Amino acid sequence: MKKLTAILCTTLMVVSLTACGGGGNKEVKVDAGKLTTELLATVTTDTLAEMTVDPSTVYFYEADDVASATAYASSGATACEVAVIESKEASNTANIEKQLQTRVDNQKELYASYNAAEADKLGDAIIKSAGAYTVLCVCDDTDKANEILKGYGF
Amino acid sequence: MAKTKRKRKKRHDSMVLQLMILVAIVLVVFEGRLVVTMITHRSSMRQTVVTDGTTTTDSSGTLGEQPSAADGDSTSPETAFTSASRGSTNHDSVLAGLPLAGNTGAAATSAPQTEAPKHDTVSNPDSQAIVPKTDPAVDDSYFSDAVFIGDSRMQGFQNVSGITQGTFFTSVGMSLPKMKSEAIIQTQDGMITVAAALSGGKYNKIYIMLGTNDLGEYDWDSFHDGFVACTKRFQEIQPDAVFYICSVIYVEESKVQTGSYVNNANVDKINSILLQVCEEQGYHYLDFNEILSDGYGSLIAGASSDGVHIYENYCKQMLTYMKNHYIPVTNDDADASGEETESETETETEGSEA
Repeated sequence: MKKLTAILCTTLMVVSLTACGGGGNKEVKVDAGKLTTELLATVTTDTLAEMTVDPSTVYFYEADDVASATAYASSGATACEVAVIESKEASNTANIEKQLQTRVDNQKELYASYNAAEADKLGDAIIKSAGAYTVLCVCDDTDKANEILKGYGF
Repeated sequence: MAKTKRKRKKRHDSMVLQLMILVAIVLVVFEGRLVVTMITHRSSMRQTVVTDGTTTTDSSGTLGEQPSAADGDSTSPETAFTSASRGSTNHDSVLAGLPLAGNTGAAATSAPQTEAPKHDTVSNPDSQAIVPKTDPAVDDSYFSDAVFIGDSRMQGFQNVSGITQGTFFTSVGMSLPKMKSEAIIQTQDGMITVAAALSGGKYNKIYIMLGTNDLGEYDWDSFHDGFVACTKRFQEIQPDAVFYICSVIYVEESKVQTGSYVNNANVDKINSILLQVCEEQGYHYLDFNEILSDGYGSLIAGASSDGVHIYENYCKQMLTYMKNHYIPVTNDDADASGEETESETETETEGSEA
């Protein structure tokens, strides 16, 4: 009986732990336009406008890996920016996250000697992926942004 | 003795079992919460599937549909997000000192609208280096072989003007010393200097917007000499490029918080030096203050949130100004450029064959 209980417990634990490890591949479908609009509301010190140049020339991800991307940026007054990138494959998100992190690190370095408050904002930058989507959000209300992202499965 | 050992072993086994049960319970509770969250989330996702901006309920409950563009654009999913505002350049005619209606920021009310401008935006209005209005206006393809170098104001122009072509080497806080030698340009391979970035391609037009971060930093003679030295270096790298030097745009002094040296008297001074450099070196001067001045030597009131970085609508005006102020390519230039391109192609072909 005890052996059986032990086996059951072990099986249960293995199954549970396997489920925990599967978070990166979860099925998520995001309305990128709506998510972007909601995230833009977390930028309160600036009015961002949609980037018309190809975002891949700013974030340096592989354009071929991406199905669609939308990015909003500042006219220069703040470091705020919001980008929602949909990869062709969920496996591409790790590389995109890396590129976004490099962008944030570089911007933080440049802002450090230019506008310290904005450098701090970059320190709180949110970079998250869910399914095939990756989000960059440099904003004024990171708690709210995280809450929004949680609601979308990030 | 053997009995005691058995008892200990039994107690030990029992403890291990209890521990495993405890861990299992914790995991079940934890995973249970995850399942609840997942169900809740799926439910909320069903309610937020949006088509053409109208919230509808996804009766299928599946999450496998293509996202739709929020603006109702009928473009394919692959391009829906990126194409939303492309090609929406504002072609409204603009007058110096007259603010745009419906700009993003506060409405400008203090700028004089009936009196003639009282302040010249350039030190020498008759200078041949000032690029005059040219007909017809070019489109974005004119910038396909152009590179834009500059500070955060140029970066703002890149971000929100609506421009769709061109290469940008911009960096917040770019000053003359930084443009000259510091690794401040972000590339796929890391941060590099402007000169190194320029060496990576062939450009026929170079736009430089610099000076805001140099206002009052050091003596003006140093700025003149340093600027000339820097642009000459760029000329060595891109010998066929036409150089456009952008004026430093006026600021709204009451809003500026970066230092008292960021004032319009200094803007006028640095612009006079930039115009002088253009006259001396054969560069072309773009006087953006022709459209962004309030007529009294200041940025149009309400054109910026911080007094320095102008709103989207004004960046769009800058783009329109650029399209109307350019140096037409003569037939001789075009022939020379064509010959060179042919020659380069041959060389490249030879190189690849070898």
